[in-house]
Amino acid sequence: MRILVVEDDPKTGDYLKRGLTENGFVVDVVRDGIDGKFYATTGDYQLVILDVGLPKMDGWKVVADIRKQKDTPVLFLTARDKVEDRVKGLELGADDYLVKPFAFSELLARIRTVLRRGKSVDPEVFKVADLELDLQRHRAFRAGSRIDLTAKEFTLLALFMRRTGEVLSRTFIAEQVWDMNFDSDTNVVEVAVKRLRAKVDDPFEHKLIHTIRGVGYVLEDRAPQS
Amino acid sequence: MTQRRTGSDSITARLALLFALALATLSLAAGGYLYHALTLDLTSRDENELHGKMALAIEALTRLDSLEAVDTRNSELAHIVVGHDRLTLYVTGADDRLLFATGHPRIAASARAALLESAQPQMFATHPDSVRALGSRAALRSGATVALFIESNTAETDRLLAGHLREIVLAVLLSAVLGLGAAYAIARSGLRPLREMADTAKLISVEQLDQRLSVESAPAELRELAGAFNAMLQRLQDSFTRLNEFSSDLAHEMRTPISNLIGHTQVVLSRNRSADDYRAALESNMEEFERLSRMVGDMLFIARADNAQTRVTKLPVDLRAVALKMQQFYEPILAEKEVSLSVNGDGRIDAEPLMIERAVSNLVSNAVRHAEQGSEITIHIQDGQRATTLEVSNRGQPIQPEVKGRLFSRFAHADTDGRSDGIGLGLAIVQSIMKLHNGAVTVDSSAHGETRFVLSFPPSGADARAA
Repeated sequence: MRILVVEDDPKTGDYLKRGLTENGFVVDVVRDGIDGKFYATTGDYQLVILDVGLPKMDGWKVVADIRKQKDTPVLFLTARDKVEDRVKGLELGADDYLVKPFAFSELLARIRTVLRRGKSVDPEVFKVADLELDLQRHRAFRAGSRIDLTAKEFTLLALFMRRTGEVLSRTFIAEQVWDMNFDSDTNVVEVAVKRLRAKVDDPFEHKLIHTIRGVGYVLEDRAPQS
Repeated sequence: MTQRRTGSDSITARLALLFALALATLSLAAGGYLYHALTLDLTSRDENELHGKMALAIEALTRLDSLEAVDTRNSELAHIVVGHDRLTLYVTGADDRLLFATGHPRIAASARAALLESAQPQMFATHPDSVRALGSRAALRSGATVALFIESNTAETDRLLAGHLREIVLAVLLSAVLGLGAAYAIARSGLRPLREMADTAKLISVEQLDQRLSVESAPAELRELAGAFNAMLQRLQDSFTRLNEFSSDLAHEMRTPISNLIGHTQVVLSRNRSADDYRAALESNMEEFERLSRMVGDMLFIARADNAQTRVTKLPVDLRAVALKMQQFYEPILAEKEVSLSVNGDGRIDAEPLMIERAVSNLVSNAVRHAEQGSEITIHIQDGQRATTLEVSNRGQPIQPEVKGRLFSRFAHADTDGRSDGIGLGLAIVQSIMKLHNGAVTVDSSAHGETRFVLSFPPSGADARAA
C-alpha cells in the first residue's frame, strides 16, 4: 500500500512517514502543493494525505486538481478546525478530514477506514484465538462457552475484532460505538473497555485486549510472553 | 472617498461658507430690490417733471400769436426751465426749423417725429449722457402749430444710481465677509460638544477602556451618537476583557502541564535508562499532551462561541433522543458507580445537533461525577410555551453558594480540594453553547444535596433573527 504525504512541516512529515512505514505502508513525503499534485496525479498511490496550508499551491487546489484526473482517496490533515473548512474539504472531494492535533492511532484508523471503504464484507463469524463472535446470531464465545454481553459491549467487541491488530484510540471508539462525534472529557471508554475485559479476558489466562498507554486499545492474539 | 478628503470636509468651514453665501445672497437681493425701486422712483419723478413742464410750455405757447413771437417771447418759455440745468426746452416749426431753444437739442431731428407720435417720455442714447425727452404739438393763438420738446439730461440720476450701486455691492461684500466670520464663530461654538467628545475619545486607550462619553451633557443631537459610541466601547471592552482573561487563563492552565513535561523529560534524558523507563516517560508525557490538546480545543471553542464567531447551523433536534443517546454512552460509568439514569419527557428544538449533544453530555458527565453512589440521575425534558427545557438532576454534595456564581466560568473547579476529573471547562462550554442558541443554563442546588442544571431554549422560530 503506497501513501503520499503532502506536508510542509518537516517534523510532521517525518513522524508520519516513520509511523506509517512501521504500520506497513510505503510512504513518500513531498513538501509543497505543486509536487503534491504532480506525484498524486502521476504516481500510483492508494491514498493521499494532504495538508491545507501548503507552499506554492494550497491543499484545496491540490485536491480539486487530483479529482479532475483520479479517484485516489484523499485525507485532509489540517489545523483548520472550523466546520466550514471541513465541509469545504469534503465538498472538494476529500474522503476524510482530520484536525490537528490528532492522535496517530486515530489517523491510522481513519486511513484504514478509507482504504477499506466499499471493499470488505464482514465474515459471519470473527475469530481471534479462542474468541469467537457470531455477528448474525449476536453471540460471543470464549473457549467454547457463551459470554453474556450487552448490546454496546457486543458492538465494542465487534469493532475490536473487525480491527484486530489495530490500535484504536478512545475518540475513535466513542465515535464508532456510541456515535459520539466530539471529544468528551469522560473516561467512559476506559470503563467500557474495562467492563468488556472483565467478561472477555479476566477469566482467562491468555489476554486478548491490550492497553497501549497514551494511545488506545488493541485486540490481538499475542504470543504468550514468558 | 479620497476625492472628498479635502478641506471642505470640515463641518465648520462648510457651515461658515454656506452661511456667508446665504447672507450675501440675501443682502444682494435686498440691495437689488432697493436699487430697482430707486430707479423706478427717479424715472417717474423725471417723467412727471417732463409732463409738468410740457403742460406749462403748451400753456405759454397758446398765448402767442405767431411763429415769430415764439422767439420774442422766449423769456416766458425760458422761465419754465430756469433753474433746471438738466432740462432743455426747444420749439420747432415746420421743416424742423428751430424756432426757440434754451440749449442745444441732443436728439436727432429724425427721431423727433416718432417722439411726437408717442406723447410719452422716451430715452435716447446721446453723447455723453442719455436724455429722456417728451414731445408734443402745441397750437398758437393764430392757429399755427409748432412742435415742442423738452429733454432731460439723465447724467445726474445716473451718477446717483451708480453711487447707490457701489454702496450696495460694498454692503453685499461686507456682509459676506462678516457673515463668514460670524458663521465660523457660531459653527465652532456650536460644534464644541463634538470636539469635547473627540477629546474624551482621544483619552481612551487599551488601558482605559472604561472611559465613557457623557451622554447627559451631550446636546440632544449628539446623544444618540454618544450612546452608540459608548455601546461600541462596551462591546470592545467586553471582548478585550474576554481576550485578556482567555490568554491569562490559558497561560496559567498550560504552564503547569508544560513545566511538568519539560521537567520530566529532562530528568529522563539526563542519564541512560532502560527502554521500559523511556516508554513510561513517553506514556506519561502522552497523557499530558492529550490533556493540553483537549484544553486548547475547548478553549478555542469557548473563545469562538463567546465572540460569536461560530455560525450555528440549526436543525431539528429531538432532545429525548439526545438524552437517550447519553444514557447509552454513560451506561458503563453509571453501572460502575451504581448510579441509574432515567429520561422522561419529550421536546424538540432547532439547534446545532452536535453542540446540543455536547452540552447535554457535559451536564451528564458532571452529574455522574458528583452523584452519590446508588443514587439516581434524572433527565427531565419539558416542552413549554415560553421555553423548552432539559433538566439534569443528581444527588450529591450541595454546591456552595460562593462557588455557584463562578461555576460556569472557565477553569472553575467546584472541588476546592484541587482535584478535578475534567479540566473545568465542561460547564463553561455548556454556557457558551447555550448563549449561541439564545438560551441559558442555570443551576440550582438545594441544601439537602439535590443539584439541578437546567438548559432552557427559546421556542423555535422566536430567535430567527439570531440565525
